[in-house]
Formats: sequence, structure tokens, C-alpha cells
Amino acid sequence: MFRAVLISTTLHFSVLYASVLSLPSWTTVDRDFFEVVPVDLVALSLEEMEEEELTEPEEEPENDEDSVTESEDVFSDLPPEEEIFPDLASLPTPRIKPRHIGMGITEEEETEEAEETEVAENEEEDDLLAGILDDAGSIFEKPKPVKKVAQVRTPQTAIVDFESPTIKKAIMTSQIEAALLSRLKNCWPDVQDLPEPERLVVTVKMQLNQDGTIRGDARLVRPKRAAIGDRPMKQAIERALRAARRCAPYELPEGAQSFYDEWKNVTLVVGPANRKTRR
Amino acid sequence: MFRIIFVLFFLVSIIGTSAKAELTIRLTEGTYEPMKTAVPVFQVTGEGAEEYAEQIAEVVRSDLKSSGLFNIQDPESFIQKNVEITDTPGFTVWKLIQSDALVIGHVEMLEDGLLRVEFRLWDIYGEGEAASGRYTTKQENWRRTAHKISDNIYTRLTGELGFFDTRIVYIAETGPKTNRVKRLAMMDYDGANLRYLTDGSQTVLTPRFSPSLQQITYMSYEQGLPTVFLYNIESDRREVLGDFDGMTFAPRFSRDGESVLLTQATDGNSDIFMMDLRTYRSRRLTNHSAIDTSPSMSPDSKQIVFTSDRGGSPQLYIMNVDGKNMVCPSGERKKVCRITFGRGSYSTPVWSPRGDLIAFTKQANRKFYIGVIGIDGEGERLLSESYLDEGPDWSPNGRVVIFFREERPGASARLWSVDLTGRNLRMIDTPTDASDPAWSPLLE
Repeated sequence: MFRAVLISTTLHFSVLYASVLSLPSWTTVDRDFFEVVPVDLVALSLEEMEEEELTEPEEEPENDEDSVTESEDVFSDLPPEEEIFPDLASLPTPRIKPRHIGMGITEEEETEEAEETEVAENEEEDDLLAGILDDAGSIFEKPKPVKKVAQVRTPQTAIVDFESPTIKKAIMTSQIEAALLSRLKNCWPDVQDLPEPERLVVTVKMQLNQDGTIRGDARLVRPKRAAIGDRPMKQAIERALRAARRCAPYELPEGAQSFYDEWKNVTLVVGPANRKTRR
Repeated sequence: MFRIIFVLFFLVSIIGTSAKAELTIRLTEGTYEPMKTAVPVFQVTGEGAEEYAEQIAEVVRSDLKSSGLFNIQDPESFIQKNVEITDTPGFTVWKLIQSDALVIGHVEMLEDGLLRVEFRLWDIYGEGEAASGRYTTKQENWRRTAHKISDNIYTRLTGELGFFDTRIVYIAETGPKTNRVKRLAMMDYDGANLRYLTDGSQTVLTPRFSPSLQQITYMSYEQGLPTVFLYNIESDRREVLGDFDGMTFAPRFSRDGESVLLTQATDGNSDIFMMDLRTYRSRRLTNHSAIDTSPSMSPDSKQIVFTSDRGGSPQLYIMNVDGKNMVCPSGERKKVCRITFGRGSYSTPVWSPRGDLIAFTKQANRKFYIGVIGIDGEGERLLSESYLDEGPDWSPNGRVVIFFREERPGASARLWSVDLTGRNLRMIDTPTDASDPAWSPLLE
């Protein structure tokens, strides 16, 4: 009996002791994480971080503020780090030099690209860091640095092939659209002088020939017609149709003929931007 | 069967895809430009018609040009000359000189001395006839016939009723400032056919047309105190309106012409009354210790707008004619709703014939302005500004505002008009100084 009580008491104490020991760790975890947080860490891939951990920074920052300034170069649009991490001054100086971020591809980055496979292997670990940073950010209610870092982590260089048919077509279509719009603006007297102009939106369709003339005639699509007695709408319809006709032949940019199929059918929506349906 | 369905589906897909190749242009802002309109000299038939043909064409040109909405083309630029009334013009030729519209007319002197005037309006880019008309009239009516043709063209090309076949009544002023002679004068819209209706022995002010065009109401000092009179244009008779104590002023006809709204001032207080012209009974509309004046009725005859200083400074207020509560723009239910809250003072409100706007005189920063505001108090726009701009009235189509202006201290007063858009500000020619204009409805 006594033995059983002894064993039970011992076990209970063990459990209690374990619980008490574990309690402080709940409160210290964040501090530990916080010490790892400095934004500079995140700008690096893991390999680079490991390499640089072995080397001392070129210049030891004079104080914490300086180190903050250094990172400001990277996040120039962010508030000073002091504001982001009020307790940062009491933390040790980060040992890792922040990475310089640029749009051009440097030799250093080319090397990094070569190591891409390795990075992929470490991706899981990287994500873990990002997660930690997210947590840290949320603790201090300043998630911006983390977000910025997330953008920095995957720099991309857009390479546009201006010779590709798709791009050429898109550029030409936009040029044709601008040319037509610019011309039509001078042929349409607007409807702002009519009562309730915001409802006077008219859609007209026309088919253009290659020389910019209208094939047949411009035709009204919407509304089908003005309601009896609706003089403003009747007038708006006439103005839209007259504008379409009056502007012809349309002058098109050089090379537009090669993309004739893209602009031979034109839908013209004429009316104020703040459209309103009839009350 | 499956194959057929597949082929059909394939074809429909192709057709659908090809139909999608379409360029959509969204045009939200245009460029205001008056319509280029060609009005060649009218063709003639019969002796004596030539004189009228030239004059009628000139009046039509002048009318359209004065509206600011038409750019009348120089006949010298015409490539196709002598288009007959029965001909279809060469649209391509007229497009070369960028004409939007072409007016072809014909004047014929009939055997009984009457004039027959015809016109056809051609839409050059629409390549079709837009309007036509024929009038048979006495020779002395050639001018009104020209105005009617202008109204017809204006209506067809702008979608709004015209305002050329109308009259303007105003106060003609002569003599030194210290001893001004003010007479009631009436003229055609374009200044022609001027007539003086009073001899100038008594100062008269604020004339207003009745909708029937047969009467004018105005204020006169004929009886010593300011008193509202009714004047019958055809019989040349005038009478005092009602039997009010004290002064009466700022009269204006109701929309049906069967009543006159006016202000009565007694013991230093002014209120608005409505007098029935059939029964000669008057009804008080406002009853407030402040000055209420310058009433103007809405086109549906249900409300009036007036000036009152009940808020501390002259501002515009709206109320129901029947005196019942109404929902104000602020959302509150009140008997009278204030609609102006801008800096300065607002006065002489006139409800637009369209019903959506109120024209007013505004005084602020030592200047006067003519402006318009929505009946909900929104969208205030100032159309003119000078040392003294005052007394606006609407054209019958609600498109143009007429008022009088003194450009600097001591300068003579003149009539001016401005388009609702603020464009086409222009002085109206009168042989003497002029003030207090009022625009008639379209003549019948």
C-alpha cells in the first residue's frame, strides 16, 4: 500500500514538475523567434545565409540604428525599423549583411540561379522561416516587412518578345483603338448639354473597309430606338450615328492592314462614363 | 449521327470565334463644335420673290448662328450651287466642305400676293432628308416665317424646341441716371419689330409674359406706391391687379396663365400671394416675418420657388402651392425647404420650363452672377459674372438664359443671353439701355 502511494506521489510530482518546467517555454518562444527575426535574414536564400554566417560583416555597424538604416535601403518605402520593432535596440546586432536587390541579373545572381535546384531542396525550410516571420510580424502588428520580403524572395525579370505575333497584334490593336478614339472625339459633340445626360449612352456598330471607309452604314444597336417623345435620346442617337459617319474615312496607323480582322468590326459605345439607366 | 453533331459543333465554334474579332471603342467625352450648316440663297419663282428669298435665308442664318449651336458656312465655299428644292444634293460634294446639314429653300410669289415658302433640311452624313416644311403667308409675315423655319431646323437638329419665333419684353431706359425714363418695350427675339408699350411717364419694372402671350404683368409706380398691373397687348388696356393694402411687386404668371403670383408688403413685412384672374380672389402662400418675394412656379404648377431672408440672408426656398408639407432635399418633411447654402446671397429665382433647374442671381465677393441650380439644391453652376448681372429668365425651351448686365459702375444696362452650358454669352442689340428682360413662349 505504502509502496503504491509512494509510486503514485512520485509520478504526480513528476507530471507537475514537467508541467511547471514547460510553462516558461511558452513565454520565451516568441522572444527566441524574435531574435531570429531581423529582416535581413529573409532576404537571403538559405545557402547564402549559411555562407555568410561564417564571414564577418565588412563593417560592423556603429549602433543598432545604423543596421536599421542599412535595411532601409532595401525597404525604402517602409517606416524606420525602430517603429516596426520597438524593442529592437536591445537586441544583438544582426551579423548577416543584407542582400542588395536589383533588377538586373548580376554574376552573383547567375550563380544563385545555378544553385536553384539546391534552393528548391531547401524550400521547405525556407517556407518555415517565412512562417516564423509571419508569426513574428503578426505579433508586432507590422506585417509589411514580411510581405515585402516575400516579394523579394522571388525576383523575376520579364522578357518581352516584341516580335511575337501576339504582342505585335496587341500593340497594333491598341494603336488602332487610340487612333479611332482620338478621331471620334472630334466628331462627337457630347451630350452633356441635354437633359439627364448620364442615361444617354448609345451603342453603334460599323464595319470598316481596309481604307478606313465604312462598309454600308453605321447601325444603331442599343437602344433599338428612342422611345416616343424621348427627344434627348433621339438626339443622342443621331449624334452618335453622325459622329461615326462624319469621322469616316478613319485614318489608321501604318501596318494596320495586316491586322484587318482585328478592327474591321467596330463597336462604338458613346455616352457619359457615369452611365445611369432611365428612371 | 455523332459525326453530324460533331461537325455542327465545330462549325458553330468557328463562327462564334470569328464573330468575336471586334474592336470596342468607348467614347465618353466629345468635343463641342457647332454643326457646320450651309444655307444657300433660297430659289425663287415669280416676280418680287427674290427680295424675300435673300432676306428669309439671311434671317435663318442669323437665327441659327445666334444659338451658338450652328456654324453657318460661307456661301463662297459651296461647290454645288443652285440646288433646286426638288433635287437631292450631292452628299459627297457637301462632305468635301464638311457640311453637317444643308438647308435648301424656295420662295414663290403667288398670284394673290401671298408668299409660299418651302424648305428642305438635308442630313449630309446621314445622306437623307431630315425635315421639310411649307408655309403660305402674307408678305409682311416673311420674318416670322423665317423664324419658324429656323425653329423647325433647330428642333430637328438639336432635339429641342426652338425659340426663334418668340418675343422679348423689357424695360427700355433713357435719360440721365438721376432722372431715368423707363418704358415697357417689346421686340422680336432678334430685336426686330420694337414697340414701346408705355410712354415713360411712370417708372415700370419687372414685366412678365402670360403663357397666352396676350397679357403682360409688371410693376409700376403709377399710383405712387409700387403696384402690380396687367396689360393687354392686343387691346392696349391696362389695369391694377387686385386691391391689396400696401405695395405689390415681383409679379409672375402661373403656368396656366390663370393666376398671378406676387409679393405684397405691408408694415415692413413681405409675403407671397396668388391671385386668381377669373375670380380676383387672392390666396396667401407664405406667412413669415421675414421678407418672402420673387415667386416662380414649377412647370407642373405644384410648387413655387422664392427668395426669403428667413435664414439670415437672402436664399432660395421651395414650397408646395397647396401649402402641404414636402420632403426637403435634406430628407426632412417641412412646409418650406431651403435649397441654396452657398456663400453670398441668392435672389430672383426662375424655374426652368424643363423643370429640372432654377436660374438665379447670386451676389458674392462684390460681384453678381447668373447661375443655375438643381431643384434638389445640387449642381450649382454659375453661367456669367460681372459688376452687375441680374434678373434672369428662360427661353421657352429652357436652353438659354436672358438677363441684364452693367459691366462697370455707371455703365449702361444691356440685355445679354447665355447658353445653359455657359457658352455663347452674347449681348442682345437694343436701341436704348435695357433691363428686366422676360422671354415669351413660342408664338402660335
